[in-house]
Amino acid sequence: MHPTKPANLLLSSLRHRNLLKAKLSLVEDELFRVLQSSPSAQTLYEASLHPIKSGGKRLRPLLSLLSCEAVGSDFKKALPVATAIELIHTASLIHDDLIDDDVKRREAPTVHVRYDRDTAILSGDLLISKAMQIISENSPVRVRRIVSSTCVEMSEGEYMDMVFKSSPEDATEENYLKMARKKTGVLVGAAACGAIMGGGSARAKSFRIMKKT
Amino acid sequence: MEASSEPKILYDAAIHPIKSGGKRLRPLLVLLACEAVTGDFMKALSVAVAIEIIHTSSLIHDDLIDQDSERRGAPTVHMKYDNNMAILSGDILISKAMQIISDNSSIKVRRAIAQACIEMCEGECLDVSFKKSPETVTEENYLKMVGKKTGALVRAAAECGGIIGGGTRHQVRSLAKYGEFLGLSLQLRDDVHEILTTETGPEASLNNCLLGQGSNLVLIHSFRNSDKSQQNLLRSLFTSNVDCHRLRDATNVFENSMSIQHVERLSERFEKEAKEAIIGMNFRNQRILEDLAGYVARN
Repeated sequence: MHPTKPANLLLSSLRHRNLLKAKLSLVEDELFRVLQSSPSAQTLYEASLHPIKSGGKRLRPLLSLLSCEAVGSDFKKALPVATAIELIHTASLIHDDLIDDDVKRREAPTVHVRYDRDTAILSGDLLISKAMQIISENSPVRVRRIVSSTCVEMSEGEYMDMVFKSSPEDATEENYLKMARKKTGVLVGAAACGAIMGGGSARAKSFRIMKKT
Repeated sequence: MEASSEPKILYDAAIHPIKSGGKRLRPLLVLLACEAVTGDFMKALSVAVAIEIIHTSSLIHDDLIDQDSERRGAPTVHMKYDNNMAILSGDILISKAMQIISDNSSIKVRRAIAQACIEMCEGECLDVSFKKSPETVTEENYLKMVGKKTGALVRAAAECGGIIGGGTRHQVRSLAKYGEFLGLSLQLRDDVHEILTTETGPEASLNNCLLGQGSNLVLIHSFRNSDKSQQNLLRSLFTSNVDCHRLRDATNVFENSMSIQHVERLSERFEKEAKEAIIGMNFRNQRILEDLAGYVARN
């Protein structure tokens, strides 16, 4: 099938790892299906898939699926949202690596190194657009709201991070935590959206608050 | 895009190209297409805003990719701020647009907009690859690229306006087609514009202009319709810095191959096709839509 070894570290340290693996393999299938190469822009799709193929913990999609299950529903209901959230996460990695000029990610060259800067910009944009397409089709307004405001916060967080890196002496712990919350906001979205897809209402909200604090 | 949003400088960067002007053709089209089927355009306002925000996001990223230094008479975002700000402000704009359409739009509208965003990325990717080897590009492939890069969002604008206005399938399809041809006509008009302002612009920026822009049908047509020595001259324009005399020679090459006229004619052909797409539809603002097509092809 596809040459990915997802979630290896995370899963090997968890009990029930075979069950979790089986769930995540459905996410893998979705990711590869969504990013199936388009003849008109082959390189772009290859580049978008490159960091996904290199592995990664898949913590965010796993969290979506488990949150859905936690409220008593079939995890498959959260599959589209889990996929969209991993796409958004990947987009942010590609753009953040470019901004920070990191050369390696998950033991493989980053997209702007393996391809080039232009391809890194566009593949990030493509991944966001694909995620937007998925949530447009399959999710209720509450989920769409959470996912899109998460995207906004991630860009804000990355900007704050960029500023901290250039002048770390100006950063306070308070501001740093504010930044960290925004930058990893996708985790918040993952948990809450999974629960909403599973039909949890007030409980879904408690997930969100739990992840924030 | 309230000024109070934090971090302020990121939002300043994001709103900078919007403040510098622009035709606002896409939001106008959303409103007009809505009005065409209902007579009221207010309910299309938020989607009109979302589509202009998406357009702005793509301009910021494309300018960075093409290393363009000016847009709408002002420095581009990566020039005024820096490359990283350009990446992030483009990202935040597309996220904001996603937020707007998440809240207010029907599934058909969301679908059309997401599809357009995907095609824009594919189109820009093609444009970048064309720029690297313009001599291998055919007119057919160039037009396909334009259909994605520019046509997709203009089409989505008209389509969404029609959907929001509650238009019939027939009406929405006609508006979408109108938008698609309008987008093609617009891009070809821009191609001609780029060449013409390059010719008359200050000599120092002449060369940068030609080297900096994405692919351009005037150049592509000229290349395919010139002799060997003229091709060599054009090739040197694509790839390296050349002095001003040679740039003037290049404009002679365009004239010999009648490339500017060719692209102008093609733009007008798409204008005609846009008008034909709405012929007999009896839209409430039929005349305005027809005039808009003429305006786009000629200005």
